[in-house]
Formats: sequence, structure tokens, C-alpha cells
Amino acid sequence: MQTQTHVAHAMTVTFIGRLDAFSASMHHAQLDTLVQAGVRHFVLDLAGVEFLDSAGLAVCVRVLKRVQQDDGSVKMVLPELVAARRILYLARFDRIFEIVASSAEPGEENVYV
Amino acid sequence: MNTLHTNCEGDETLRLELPATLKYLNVVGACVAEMLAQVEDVADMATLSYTVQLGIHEICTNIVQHAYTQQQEHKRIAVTMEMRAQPRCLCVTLWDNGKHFEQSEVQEPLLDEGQVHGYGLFLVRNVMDEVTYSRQPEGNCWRLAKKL
Repeated sequence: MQTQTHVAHAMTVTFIGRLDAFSASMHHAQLDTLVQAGVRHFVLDLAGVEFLDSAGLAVCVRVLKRVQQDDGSVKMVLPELVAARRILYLARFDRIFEIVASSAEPGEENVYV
Repeated sequence: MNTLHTNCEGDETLRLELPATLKYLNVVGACVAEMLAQVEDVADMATLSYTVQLGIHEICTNIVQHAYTQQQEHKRIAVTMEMRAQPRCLCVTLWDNGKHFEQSEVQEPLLDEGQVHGYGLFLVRNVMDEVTYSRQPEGNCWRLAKKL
């Protein structure tokens, strides 16, 4: 028996600053563009997020729901800011997303938004 | 029931009146941060400041996106923030002239599934100590309070 391992490279999307109601529509559009281009595996890097609100949570869930329809995946790097991290735990994002320590893996593509 | 809110205003009161558009909401957050920065003996001011900013921000977002219609003119939000001494707390009142808020239309988020809508008021209720809404003759009134 032979087995093959298929490694699906993920697209890392790095968020900096505010991920909130004002910026959400821009982030939705950017992630939609990537999904339409065929990206199915994402790492959402929120390490540099300084303010996260319910619209920011929605940005993350929306892309997850979209790629899950095509067997895609979304991993998440939590914010360094403790208060923002608590909001994600409050919304139980640690159960919805696979939490990873860092998005820095060789071979992955990166997009900064 | 004891409430942190009373109707009197003291010297430590700050009033803001802003256009009901998303781009101005960070102005409210900045004011909250500066007001709280003057409070002494808070164990984790960074987290406290963030959570109060978030609570107010979510109510403002709700007003912008749901209370006011596109056609409505003079869309404004009036915010009053007052520092109280006994018990030490920040009391915030937000007024708008939009549509009545209907509590029964808001469903609790399904946290284990994740959803695109419905986190806003859930977050407010979890980060603030008091959250009340009332429809008054002069408009919609939200009262928030956070012990410091």
C-alpha cells in the first residue's frame, strides 16, 4: 500500500490595527477576491490587531463558512493584545478555528491587509 | 435593583455629539481611553479601557447600521460619559433618533457554530456591568455602565 501526503499550502492574511465595522467591508472584499481566485486554505494572522469588534469576528467566520463548503480550512493566529484575545475566547473562536502559534511557515503566501 | 446609573450629572461629565457614520466611531473610543487614563489604581487598565471602548462602539455600530435608515436626515449620536465616585464606575448614555430597537428580533449567537451576525449585543452584555435600552419621547436611549 502506498500513501501520499498532499500538503495544501495556506494563504496567510495578516491583519494590522483595527478589524472593526469600519474596515470590515474592505476585508470582506479582499477575502472574497482570494476565495474567487481559488484559495481554500487560510491562516488569519490577527497578532497585530489592536481593536477587534463583532464585525471583525464576522469577517473571520464568513471566510470560514465559505471555504468549508469546498473542504477548505481557516487557521487563526490570536492577537497579541490580551483584551482582543479575550473577545475571541468569549465568542468561543478557539472551538471554531484551529488556533496556531504563528503563521510563519515556509512556502506559504502572505497578504497584508 | 440597585443601578449604577442616576440622572444627576457631576463635574466629571463629558459630552460628544457625532455623525452616525462608522468612520467617526474611533473618535468615541479615543475619548473613552483618555477619560479612563485619568483613573488611578486600576489593575489592568489596558483591558478595562478596551472592553469599555468595545461596549460603546458596539452600541454605536448598532445605531448606525440598524436604527438609522439611509433616507433619514440628521443622523446623529449623542454620547454622555460620566465618571462616578461611589461606586466608582463609568456611566455612558447614548441617544439617537432612529428606529425603535426591538429586543425580540435579536437572537443569541450560536457560539459553537460561529455566525456572521449576532455577536454585537452579546459582546456588550458580556463586557459591561449594566446595559439597558428604553424608548423615550426624545429618542432611543442606551445606558451602559462599567465598574472601575
